[in-house]
Amino acid sequence: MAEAILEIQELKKTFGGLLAVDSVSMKIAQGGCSCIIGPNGAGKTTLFNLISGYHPADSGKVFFQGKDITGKSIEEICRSGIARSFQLISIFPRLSAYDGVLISLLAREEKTWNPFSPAKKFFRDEAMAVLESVGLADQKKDIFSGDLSLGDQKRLELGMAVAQNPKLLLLDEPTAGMSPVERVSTMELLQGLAAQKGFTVLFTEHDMSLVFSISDWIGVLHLGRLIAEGPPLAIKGNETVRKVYLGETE
Amino acid sequence: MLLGKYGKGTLGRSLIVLLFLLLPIGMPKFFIFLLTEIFILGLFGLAVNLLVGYSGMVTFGHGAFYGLGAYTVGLLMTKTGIPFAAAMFVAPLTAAAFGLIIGFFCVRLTQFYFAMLTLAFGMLVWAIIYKWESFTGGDNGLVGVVLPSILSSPQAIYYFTLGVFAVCLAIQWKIINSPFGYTMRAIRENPERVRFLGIPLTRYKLAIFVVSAGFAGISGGLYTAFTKGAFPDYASWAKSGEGLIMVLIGGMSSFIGPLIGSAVLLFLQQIVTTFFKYWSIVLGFLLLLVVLFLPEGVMGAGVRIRFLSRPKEGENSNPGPARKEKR
Repeated sequence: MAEAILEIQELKKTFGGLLAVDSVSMKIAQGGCSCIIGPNGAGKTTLFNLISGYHPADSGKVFFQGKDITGKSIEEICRSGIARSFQLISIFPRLSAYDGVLISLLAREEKTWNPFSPAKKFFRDEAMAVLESVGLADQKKDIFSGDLSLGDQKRLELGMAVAQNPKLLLLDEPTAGMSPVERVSTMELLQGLAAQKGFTVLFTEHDMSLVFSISDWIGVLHLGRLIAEGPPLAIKGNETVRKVYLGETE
Repeated sequence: MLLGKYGKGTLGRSLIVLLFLLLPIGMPKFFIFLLTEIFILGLFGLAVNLLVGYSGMVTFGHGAFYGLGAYTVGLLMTKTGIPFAAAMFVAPLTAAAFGLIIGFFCVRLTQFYFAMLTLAFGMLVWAIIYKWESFTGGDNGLVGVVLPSILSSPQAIYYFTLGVFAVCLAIQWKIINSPFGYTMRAIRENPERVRFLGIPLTRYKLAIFVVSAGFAGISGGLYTAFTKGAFPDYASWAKSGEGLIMVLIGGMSSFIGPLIGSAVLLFLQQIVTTFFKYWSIVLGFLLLLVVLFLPEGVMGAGVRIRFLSRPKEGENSNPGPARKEKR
């Protein structure tokens, strides 16, 4: 295994009486695509929320590039190089796609305090390049992003996250709601961007063929516990995984 | 819709400026007073709109900052020998300073709770002004503000107000088109996402609150100059409501909307009160009509009338920027 970019130790989170994430430990290797799978309610999104600082963990530690980021604020964690997207699309519905990407770039370069220079003058080429890379460089970039199709909104979200120049990108079901064709093209796009910009991807996904074709590492969550981890082939052959997860869906 | 063209083309802009410069010539005093008040209240509306329309933070307590600006000018002019120009300069600073303290607590809350806390602080400021008779004159207010002789005529006050308004307008235009202004809109649209872009949300909300309070302070200061006095009403929650009403009438999505709102409000008030005692009833109906038929205000009226042209399925049906859309 290559050097770990993210290391999780005994992470635990309960909501009321519900144990959402139960003593999960894992190491995510630098580079490539890693995937967390598991049935609905397995704790995938909660795990992402714990990593990105959205929820405080009850116990356990998260290390990013060797540094302890447990308990840090969302903003700090983001600044350290972790970007994320959301299962439910989270964009700026009444701003254009161009403006969404622009704000992401302005935030990255810490220009957002500037109250006097016209914002449109900043990062014109880079914003266009980002939009180009996610296929929104045509007239789609100028309409309210809330009016874009679901697939385009997901692509915009990806673009906004990529514009942050993250070292680690957490994607919570990046292809939810897309057609099978769109899914494949989106994930290919993602892999291309990851290779080009050199960030590591950790994502969750329900489309198993997609997961097994692009992941370098897969972790399986079930009822908040990590029940298996390893390369796709090992997961495919794993008895427990077949029983609790794959067997049910296929 | 003349003002809708503001900012598009030098000709239109120059014509509007010329119009406002020539307006008071030969006009009756009453009309000049009305115009002056429209600009002052319009400036207050613009300040409120920075928070409400651009940043999605609905405040019920901005009257406090208007009042603080008004009393700053009033107190400085009546209790110290500070010249008027300096007092006008201190007014936004005082309001902004109080904005920093009050905002520090308020911006930690969101939506309804934010609105309620601003209301509470607003009423607190009003109560202090009202009760602290020895300092503020209490119910009787502060009277006897003497302006420099150059501002003795209604025209002079009008031009002074117009000048201050224009400068504030220019600064706000700069702000809302800057990276900071874009961040304001992003906060309105989706504060959570803003945090995940690494932007310290609370600090930005506080900064917006302070800037908005400062502009409200300027308008309050102008009003003291206009009325030659300061009264507890200036800081009341009714004043805060007026700010919101102007924003609503003019249209939150429009930069200049609050000024239109102020004009509509004050003109109508003048006309209605001539014939009819109960202005609030008319205002209530007006608001009802605006909310039902012009959800984007007067400035958005040309775009869409809600009940007549229903947006097609899948189209964004609520383009008013301050409406929060949860996806």
